[in-house]
Amino acid sequence: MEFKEVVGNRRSIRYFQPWRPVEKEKIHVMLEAARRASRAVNAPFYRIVVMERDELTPEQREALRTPTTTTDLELAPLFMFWFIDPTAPNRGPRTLKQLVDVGALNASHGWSHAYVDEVVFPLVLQPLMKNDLAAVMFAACEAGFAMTQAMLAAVDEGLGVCMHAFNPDAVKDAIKAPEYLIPIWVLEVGYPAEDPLTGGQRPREPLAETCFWGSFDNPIESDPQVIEYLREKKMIQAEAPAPWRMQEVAALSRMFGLPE
Amino acid sequence: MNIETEEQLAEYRTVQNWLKGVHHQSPASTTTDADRLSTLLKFCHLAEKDPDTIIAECFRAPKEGDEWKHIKFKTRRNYSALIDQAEEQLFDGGTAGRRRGSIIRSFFIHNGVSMQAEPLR
Repeated sequence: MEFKEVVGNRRSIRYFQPWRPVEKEKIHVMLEAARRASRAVNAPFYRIVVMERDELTPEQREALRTPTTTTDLELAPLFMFWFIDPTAPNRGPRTLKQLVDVGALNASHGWSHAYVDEVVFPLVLQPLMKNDLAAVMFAACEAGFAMTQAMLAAVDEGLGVCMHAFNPDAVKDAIKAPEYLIPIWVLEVGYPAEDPLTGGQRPREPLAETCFWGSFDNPIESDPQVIEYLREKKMIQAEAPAPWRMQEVAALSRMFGLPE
Repeated sequence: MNIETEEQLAEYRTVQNWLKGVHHQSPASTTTDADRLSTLLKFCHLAEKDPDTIIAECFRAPKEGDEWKHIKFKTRRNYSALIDQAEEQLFDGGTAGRRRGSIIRSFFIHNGVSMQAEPLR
């Protein structure tokens, strides 16, 4: 699939085929995509624990629930538990020098081994890690890049995904996460039982509400020509709901014995 | 609990909330209001409580300074178990029982009490 179409096709899937496992190869495609995401300090800010739904007991799955994480936990056949590592910048002296050595960070921009050792690590990265809130925000943002790439890779492989909160205590014994890692999301993965395009793209606020040129006084309006171009490329698709969507939801609810 | 008919049941505020919500959110549902009301009436008889009381019991009594309603998880769990019991005892279990159970769960959901069931798979 073309990149723009993958972006256009991504939805949060909430009805999965619970009986259909995700192939190991496709799981690896997602993990490799995550691994290649942009990352500060060239350090790994995330860890992922992959687990099939049925590796957890019904009691553990029940305990995973939060007020907004519901039936989809029972439908998705695969979970990816994401953790962030706020200590990742500790690797900076080594990982930044790797970038210097391969010509990614260059003297033309002020980079050298000495700059990493004498300035960047002691004056930037170490103070950052001493500020818990900043370190966590930084790590969460960096991990988010990896999550996005994993999700888009999944869509490109014909899978459905949905990111959810989870109660980490429910899987503490099973996962055995080191204390310094912070749990953030569970990514549910599987083949959609609903139409993968879920009857259209979900509502978004106008571009001008979130994007500005130069200052917040100057919102950026959508460009009709670009909109048309992106429609042709399928990044922009028909808005939800399709005329048949409510019938689909009713049929899925009946099939899975769920309330309406 | 002194409700004999579906018409009486439909007078309750929580039942009106429910029907309004389900009509709005599930316009393609094949379940009729008559089905909904007769199912809920049987459940109310099993619980020996009227529908407004059932929903009110699921929330903690508001305290001064509360900015939102607080769900009572234990009460919700108890009602969830009672729905499971109703599926078996009142509605013959199996798929038919589940269908009726889901109607009752819908009543809770449209009154702000998230009532889930394990999907059939």
